[in-house]
Amino acid sequence: MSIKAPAFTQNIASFNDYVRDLTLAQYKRCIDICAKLDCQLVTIRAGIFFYEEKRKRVFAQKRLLESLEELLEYASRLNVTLLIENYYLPMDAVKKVKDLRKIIELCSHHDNIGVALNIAHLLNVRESIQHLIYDRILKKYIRIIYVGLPPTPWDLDYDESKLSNVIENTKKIIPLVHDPIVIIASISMPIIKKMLEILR
Amino acid sequence: MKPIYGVSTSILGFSGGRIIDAVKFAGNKEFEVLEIVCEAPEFLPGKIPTNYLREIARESLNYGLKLQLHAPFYSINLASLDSEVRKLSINVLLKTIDTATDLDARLVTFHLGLCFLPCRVYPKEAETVLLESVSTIVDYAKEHAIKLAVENRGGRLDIGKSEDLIRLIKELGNPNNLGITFDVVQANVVGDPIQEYLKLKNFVINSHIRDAPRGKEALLAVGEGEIDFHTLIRLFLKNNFYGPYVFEVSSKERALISRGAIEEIIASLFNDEKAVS
Repeated sequence: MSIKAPAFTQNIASFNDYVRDLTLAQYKRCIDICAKLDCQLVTIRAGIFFYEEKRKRVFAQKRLLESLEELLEYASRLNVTLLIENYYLPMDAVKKVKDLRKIIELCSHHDNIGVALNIAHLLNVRESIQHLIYDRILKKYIRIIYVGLPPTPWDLDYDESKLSNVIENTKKIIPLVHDPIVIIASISMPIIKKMLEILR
Repeated sequence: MKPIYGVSTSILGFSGGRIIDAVKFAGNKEFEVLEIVCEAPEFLPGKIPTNYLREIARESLNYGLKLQLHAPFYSINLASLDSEVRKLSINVLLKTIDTATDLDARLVTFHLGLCFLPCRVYPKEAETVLLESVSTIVDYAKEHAIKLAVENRGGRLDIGKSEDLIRLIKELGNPNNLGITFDVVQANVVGDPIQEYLKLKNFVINSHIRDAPRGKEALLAVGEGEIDFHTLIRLFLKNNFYGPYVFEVSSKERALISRGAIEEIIASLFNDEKAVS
């Protein structure tokens, strides 16, 4: 079992203290729930850089890292690993393989950080899977692979024409990752069945 | 009647300028209104140093500049089914009303929020909580003699399409302190700004004036994009809406260019009228 923390308006990088504080509180509760359920993985969104955060990018990065530090330390006390999920909007702090790599490097002094790779989001930001294939370090951090349809599995709309593309990329990634948890993410039962059948 | 020209603190753009700089610019260039976009880190309601608020109030008074506020909107969602997010959003709006009171600003523009997956799966529940949230804010604003203006929004997930706004106002019983801020470019994202204005015209009490290519979002000066301002301004005047026309553009230069362009349009409309009569 793993927990995916809420990731709609939540933002650990927000300059708005009310938003950041609530996000941290909610994410810590997700870590608590995970520990109570005896699961070990909590997936989070790394933050969103809206207009104000873009205006002061260095300060925004610092704020994001401070929040991550706080969460990683909290999770460590409860033996929980925090997974950073790549997202797909232009203002997301972590969209591409290089963003994931950077955040992992900056937090590499923690042994409870990992990656939840979202295939749909990668395709949506037109990221080549090759970048991941050649990144020896990042691959080691991937614990969960979300397999869903673009633009995002976390909404009602999905583009079924991208199914074969998603499957192709998933097939390339799975063998590269040691013992991954593959989560089929869709709100459509026929899509879930179809993906499961092909992947099996 | 004379049009009321205003400018938004969006003119500070990426220049690193502060709100007080926008007050001085608006005052020196003889705008009548300044709309302050309340966002962290500089201007988050409830966290603004009292001295800074006083300085802004004093400077505005010196210039005879009227202030109005745009409530924070990033991560604010009055329709959220997450009760903590909804409470936070309401509180931020109430604090914005307090800040408006402190600054003697009489109008607050706000966004309703976004319709994410939970809202799309449970639209009725989201609508119910949205009504409750807005009702709370409207009541609080009334106690503080503040007018609220809900903004039309055009993004895919945005709540605030013209029909949403009209329904909301009607369901709340058409409160006399709730109107609409008509954002020309947000209307342009949805379709034809002229048609969108015609739907909303009976409720419009404030406007965001900027330009953009057709169907797109941008903070361009009037004339830099493809919006038909000639027709739009004619309709504004015909409907006795003389502003505030708040230039929500990305730089000071664009605000000045926009005002010049609107003044020219108004002059040409009066000339046309004279020629006809």
